[in-house]
Amino acid sequence: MDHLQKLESKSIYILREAYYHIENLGMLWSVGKDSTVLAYLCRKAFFGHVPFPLIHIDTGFKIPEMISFRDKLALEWGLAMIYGQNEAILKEKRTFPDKTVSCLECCKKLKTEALKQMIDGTSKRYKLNHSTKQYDEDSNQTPFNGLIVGIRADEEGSRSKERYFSVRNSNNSWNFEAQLPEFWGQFNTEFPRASHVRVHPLLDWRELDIWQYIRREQIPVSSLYFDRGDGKRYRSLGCGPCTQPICSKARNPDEIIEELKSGQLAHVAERSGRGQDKEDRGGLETLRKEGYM
Amino acid sequence: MKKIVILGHVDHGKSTILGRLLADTHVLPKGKLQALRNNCRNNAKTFEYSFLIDAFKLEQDQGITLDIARCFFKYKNAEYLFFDAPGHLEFLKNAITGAFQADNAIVVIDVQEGIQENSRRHAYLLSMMNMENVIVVLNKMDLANYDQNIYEETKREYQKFLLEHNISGSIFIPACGLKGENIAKKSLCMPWYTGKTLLEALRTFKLDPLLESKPFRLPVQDIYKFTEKGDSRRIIAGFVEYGQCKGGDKLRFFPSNKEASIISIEDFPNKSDEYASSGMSAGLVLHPQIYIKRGEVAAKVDEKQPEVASRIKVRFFCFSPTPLEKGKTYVLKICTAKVSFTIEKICSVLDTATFQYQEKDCIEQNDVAECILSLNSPIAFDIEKEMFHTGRFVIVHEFAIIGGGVICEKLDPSNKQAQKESALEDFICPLQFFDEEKSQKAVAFIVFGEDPQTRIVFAQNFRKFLAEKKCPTTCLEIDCSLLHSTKELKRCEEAISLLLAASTTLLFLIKGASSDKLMTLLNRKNLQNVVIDLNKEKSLQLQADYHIVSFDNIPETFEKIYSEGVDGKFS
Repeated sequence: MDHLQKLESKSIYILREAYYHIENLGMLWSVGKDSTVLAYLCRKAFFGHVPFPLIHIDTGFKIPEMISFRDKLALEWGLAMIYGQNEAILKEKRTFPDKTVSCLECCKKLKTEALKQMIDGTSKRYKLNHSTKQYDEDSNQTPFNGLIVGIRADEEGSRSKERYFSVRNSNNSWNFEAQLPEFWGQFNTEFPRASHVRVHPLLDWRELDIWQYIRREQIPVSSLYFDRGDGKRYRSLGCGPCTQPICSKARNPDEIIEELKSGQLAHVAERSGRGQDKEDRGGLETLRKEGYM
Repeated sequence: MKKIVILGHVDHGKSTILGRLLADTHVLPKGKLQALRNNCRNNAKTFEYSFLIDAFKLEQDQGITLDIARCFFKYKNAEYLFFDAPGHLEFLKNAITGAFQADNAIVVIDVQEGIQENSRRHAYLLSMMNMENVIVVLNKMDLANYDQNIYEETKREYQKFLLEHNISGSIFIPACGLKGENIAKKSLCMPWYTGKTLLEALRTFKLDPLLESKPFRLPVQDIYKFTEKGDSRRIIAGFVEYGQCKGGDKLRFFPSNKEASIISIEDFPNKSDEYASSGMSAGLVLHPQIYIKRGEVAAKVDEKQPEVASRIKVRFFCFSPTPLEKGKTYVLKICTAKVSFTIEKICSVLDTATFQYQEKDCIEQNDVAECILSLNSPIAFDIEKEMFHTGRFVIVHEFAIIGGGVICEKLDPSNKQAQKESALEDFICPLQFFDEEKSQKAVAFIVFGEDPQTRIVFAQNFRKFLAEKKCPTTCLEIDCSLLHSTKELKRCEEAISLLLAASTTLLFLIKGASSDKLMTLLNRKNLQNVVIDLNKEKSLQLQADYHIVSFDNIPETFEKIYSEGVDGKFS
């Protein structure tokens, strides 16, 4: 078995453990390359079916191509797709692009809080209707007690300390000091009622692995990752106002793999184009303790 | 990719060595080192290489590693994944999480402080998981004036310890993480050392051992039947731990002993693969369709079969903050099987701080115990060292993994009767149809009396009386003197539940004195107790509702008990 097969196999094992043990399970799909690979792995793990909904937290500021890509793929793959957003904050215009709050505060409201409401079932859920290709308000508000999330350990410091099964308390916050041990393929799959568990099947994958797997399995990803003529491409996707493209002429997975292997990007952090990581000496760490992905 | 865990006592310099390795091989993102140096200057702190690894603010502030950190490292086409484990005793469970995921290990020892508790404890962990090759870095040689004698002395002592625990292929390196001596480049301060640097030594680590040539083992993870889009496949899903299989192979499942052949090996998006081998998350379609559950282990009929037992001898590491006790119930997870068990016997306990064997009747945090476990149902497993993956288990208690270990021996059932009884417990399960909000409760007349004849006479007459009142009664005698173990209590509880499901008037004749255990059993929401004392001298302890010494006026007495106990209180 090669390196990619090993990674794939372990991720599938984790996905199947999650599906077996967790009653109300969902998968967070940011529409980025990692969680798109994860959605593909779900289809592989369950032999062409994805037996749980894919959830997108729509901040309302996502780059428009991301939304159209999301819906196209969801229809093509027959995914149970739902999205939710922090409608109150967007209505009140208390966001970073509206210049009323800081970037970190904005992330907290539009992502962390929106996610919490989605998990609890306290905010509206919109579900993709595969026959009309439109989103309808979802009558199912059952709280989720498990979420599959596509974070990778090599992305950033606090993510390097995650577990495959990471239990959150009822406030969704992450107490990394009290993390439970997990080894030998045995995870902490039972947990007190008042919390949910985050499942991280991609923890061992690196950026290069993701691209090599995308190439090998021919997984569709958003065209934002590729240079479309202006010598720029996104390396990590997020909200339009807080995400910057990098200078690169890579036009397809092959060229991205070449670029990563050549070492041109070796000294630039993958998430360097993301605003929220830079605030408060470890902005992402602070966000993550409170429930960010 | 080689997976390596870095272990050692607190402050012996694990994170520093890893940080230095990253810095000196120039694999860090541009500016990261400088940014961290600037940050330290601004916060009036001395820069340390360990900060490169200790990502968390809290960890940097305290200067210790709290959790395992993963760290990728690529050098000259060799790829490594490091687990930096904390050296604090209180974070031992994290060290274990790191160690048990790795294939190779580096142990760091401060030559000044010498071999400490966790130097030994961590090495013992490695021996438990059959890790034979270990790099030992004797760190902080600068503080020992790069003295060869100090190095040799520490090396001799530690090597002896490692050999005692079957770790034979170790490499020792004198180093200084802070100054980068013998980390990525050869030290000029220690010309007497002609061996490898840490970077060079890493290359000696072997890649994953070959598991394909072992007998086939597939623990059943789940059974899928997704009928959407007309899919009619019934797929047995599982991770192949050892060996390989292909279409047409005949499998036997353990412990059920059921057999079926492989029709196809499923995959997506491709229709099917030709074979499934160790390391793969596979999907099998079988014929005939047999009923099997998660937890069974598939093996090939013509290969070595796994063991099946419900009584086993094990050795395990305990990191539960509350001690494990004999007789209490815990859960064991091995591969995909999950079974509850009690500790039948604690054979020996090794205190990993002193490395002394102790006689104890409980197992405390950081102990390594050898025990006999009595499992609630049989499991399938392997004992051979070479088939470690299907012989290792974890212990779960109250939502957390609290221990991990290996099965050393398959034992015969303690006695056949006990086995039969445990089987009974599994398949008799009274259904609780009692609506707890309903006002109608069942009544239990609990009769105490030392003289057996008196008890019987009372029971016969009282039953007759109740029958005339259209109150059919079920009678049960409980011998309190035999009501000790969890098992007996459980059987008794089940019997009461069965009777309660059948009848609303119960008569319990109690042999022996009352006990708290008994009263706890009878103290149920849907049961009203009436205590009757037949002893000549009224027992104060009982606080009986009725004390009957003479049977002369018994019909009236019965009427009184009945009207108060049945009609009076509960109608």
